[in-house]
Amino acid sequence: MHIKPFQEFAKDKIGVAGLVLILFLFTTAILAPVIAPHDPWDYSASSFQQPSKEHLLGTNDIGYDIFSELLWSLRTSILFGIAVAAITCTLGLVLGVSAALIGGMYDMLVMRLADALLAIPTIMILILIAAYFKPSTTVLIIALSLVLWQTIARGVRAQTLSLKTKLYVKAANNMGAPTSYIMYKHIMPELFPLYAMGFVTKARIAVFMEAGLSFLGIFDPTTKSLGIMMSYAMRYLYLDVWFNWLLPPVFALSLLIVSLGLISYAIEEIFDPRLRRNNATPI
Amino acid sequence: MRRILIASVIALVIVICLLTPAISADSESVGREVRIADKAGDWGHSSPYLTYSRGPGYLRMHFIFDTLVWKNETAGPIPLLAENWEYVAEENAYVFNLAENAKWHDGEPVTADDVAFTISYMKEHPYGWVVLDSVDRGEVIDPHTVKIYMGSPYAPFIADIGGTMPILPEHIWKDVANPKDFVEDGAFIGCGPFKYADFSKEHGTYRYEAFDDYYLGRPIVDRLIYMKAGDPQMALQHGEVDFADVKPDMVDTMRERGFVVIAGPHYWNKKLMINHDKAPLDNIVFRQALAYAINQSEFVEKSLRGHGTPASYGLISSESVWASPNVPDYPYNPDKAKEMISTLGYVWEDGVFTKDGKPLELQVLVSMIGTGGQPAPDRDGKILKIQLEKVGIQIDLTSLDTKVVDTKVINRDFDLAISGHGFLGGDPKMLYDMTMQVPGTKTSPNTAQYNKSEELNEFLNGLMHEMDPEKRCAAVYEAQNVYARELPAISLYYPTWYYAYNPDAGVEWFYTTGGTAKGIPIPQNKLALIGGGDSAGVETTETAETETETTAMSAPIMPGLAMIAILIAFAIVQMKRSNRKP
Repeated sequence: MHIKPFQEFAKDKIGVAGLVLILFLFTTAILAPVIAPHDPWDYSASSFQQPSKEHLLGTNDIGYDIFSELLWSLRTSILFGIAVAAITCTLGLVLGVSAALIGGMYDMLVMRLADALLAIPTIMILILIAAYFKPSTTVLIIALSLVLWQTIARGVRAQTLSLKTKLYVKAANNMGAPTSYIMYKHIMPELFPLYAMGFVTKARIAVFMEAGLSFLGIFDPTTKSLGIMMSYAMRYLYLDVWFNWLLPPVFALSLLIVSLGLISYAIEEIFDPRLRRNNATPI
Repeated sequence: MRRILIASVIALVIVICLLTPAISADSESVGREVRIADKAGDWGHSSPYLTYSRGPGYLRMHFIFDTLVWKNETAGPIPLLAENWEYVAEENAYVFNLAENAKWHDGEPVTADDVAFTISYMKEHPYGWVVLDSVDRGEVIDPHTVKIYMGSPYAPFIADIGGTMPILPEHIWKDVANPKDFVEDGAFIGCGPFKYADFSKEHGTYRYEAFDDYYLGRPIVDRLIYMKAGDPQMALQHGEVDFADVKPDMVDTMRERGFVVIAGPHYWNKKLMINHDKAPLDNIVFRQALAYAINQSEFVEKSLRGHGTPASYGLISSESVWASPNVPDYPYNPDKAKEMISTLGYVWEDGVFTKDGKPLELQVLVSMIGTGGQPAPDRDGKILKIQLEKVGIQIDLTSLDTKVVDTKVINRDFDLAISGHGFLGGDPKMLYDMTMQVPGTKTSPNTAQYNKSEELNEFLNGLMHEMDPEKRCAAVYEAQNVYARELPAISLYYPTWYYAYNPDAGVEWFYTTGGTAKGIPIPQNKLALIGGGDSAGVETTETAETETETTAMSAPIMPGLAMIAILIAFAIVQMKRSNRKP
């Protein structure tokens, strides 16, 4: 490593803002069961209540407390984002590194598969899967991860190929270090920027996809989701419910996506030498 | 200066000349018109074989083509093209006497030949809305009397065929080999109250002009227009249309704003489809336990916010004239449901029923099911899940595309599915169609495909073939009672639909008893546009005359204004000239 990423990040105001936002949303989501004033599946309240002390954002058409629903939906979104990002990064890393190290036929197969996946629009595949099979959250997480790994794998492979030729790697190799040691000690740390950025970017895409799919009504209907909230709120817009029903999930989703965007922007600036500012701390 | 002045005078004259004919032409054509909003817009050409085979498509066509009999707000069947009719039991035939002054839109008279022709033509070229298998032939007795022979007794004849089959003009259709490709002007010649004027597939608009020689009298409006509107209710509020469907939550607001809101009768049900081929749903006791576990009122209160009523378990709407007075009922009783389930060998363990160590789990398919092809919000799956889990049945709620759910129901690849359909107020033939799977016909996703009850089959056959009205009625009642006892499917509730119209437009729209034609639950009946000698008709005719007068008066104003403008312009020019001379 030639830079101290955490120090750099701490200096980046945009990145810190994103981090603070995401930590705030994250805490809210984790604490949802504690903070939420009502059970989000309890429809015993009367419908279309205006915001009050009892129901901070009022109630919706069936009598759900909108504020509680919002907190639980945020939880679904964040969980979905993290899960997809984690699986995608692992897949991308494993496939990318192995393709670079093994090479040959295997390399070609993995990379052509990645190219093919790049060409197919992800959302179409997901809509098809969701419409014809039982779209439980787990199935969708796996499905989305299976179609999102390609960009990470390509980056990782290219970087690994270039690292393979580095003198210190060759030196370690000549001194008899096993491949696993070289992987762990020399290659993985160098790839950190790639998967740190991949993680944030993919989480952002996943959060957005989840909201989109549930908005279209093809997500698991029993989960709470920002998209489902929006889609229902849209149907009752004529009742002037936009400020307490439509706006909160839209705002929460935007905040989530913006904060992830800010973080990925900051990470990119730190690690990409072309974007790095002059005040970067050299070692 | 002078040039500029002359140029501007010429420009002014040109502009006025251009405007004048346009405005006066427009004013001449302004008559009474009624505009109806529709969300989908395009429902196909307004000719029997060209409309889309859904209710709104049929309604676009029914303004142009008349049937033998018809229905109004309170009664049906009532005379339309046929002034009267009778059933001749010995010959198993109906004799219809046609209105003698009826004419086709091209001026030819409507005769018995046209009716006989329509039957033979539709037997040869099947028409989706009418199944003529039970009809043998039509025979012309005299130019205005026709006798229709049936092959076998067919009790729903009047409602199902007489009130739904549009009569075609023989002189136009006799040469048409392929009716689905026939889109020439002749395809839109009927004998109904309105003539076809225009249709735009892209814009989803329809225009009909009043038919002056209509045998029941000229319609009270000159023009009828269907417009596509993204939000019909908004279009009505903004005065772009006179008639539109409105959302239940807006009913009070619309009334406050001076619109007349009509609430529909309950002829559409949300229905829980049950796979009665699969254990434990194949057991009648289990299905009855489900009925006890389901709280219909909670669906009405939560899913519809009170805009609806709980459904009858006998499928036929409790508001229909055919509703049985003693349909078995299943008042909400979760304890009784639990008790019934435990008699089937299930053991209650920590809030869930189990058998042989396996929990009792059922899958419920839900989709965005709506009416008229317009998806509606669905909260029912979640409510059903909570209700059934209270009685120890674990529910796996699966949301799929409507078409996928339909296919799974048709192929019996499901446990429970929430679906829905209309026609509950029409002829009780519907009960037969929605229960039995008639061999050789295309399976509908709404039919329960339930043929295993001998008793039910007998009553269903009775209601189809019993020509004696009293005996038929008894069969209809019994069929409902057995249906409600065996529960091949469970009707959940009837939503209330609302339409609102602008009373200033002069048309009093109404919901047809049992639904328009076969049972279309949309309050667009051509009879609302035909005066029929009531006070509304007289009033509107007067207004129409006054409007025509104002139009006639306003027409010469524009050329007059143009003349004055020219004269003033010349006067200014002359004044300028005389000012310069000295």
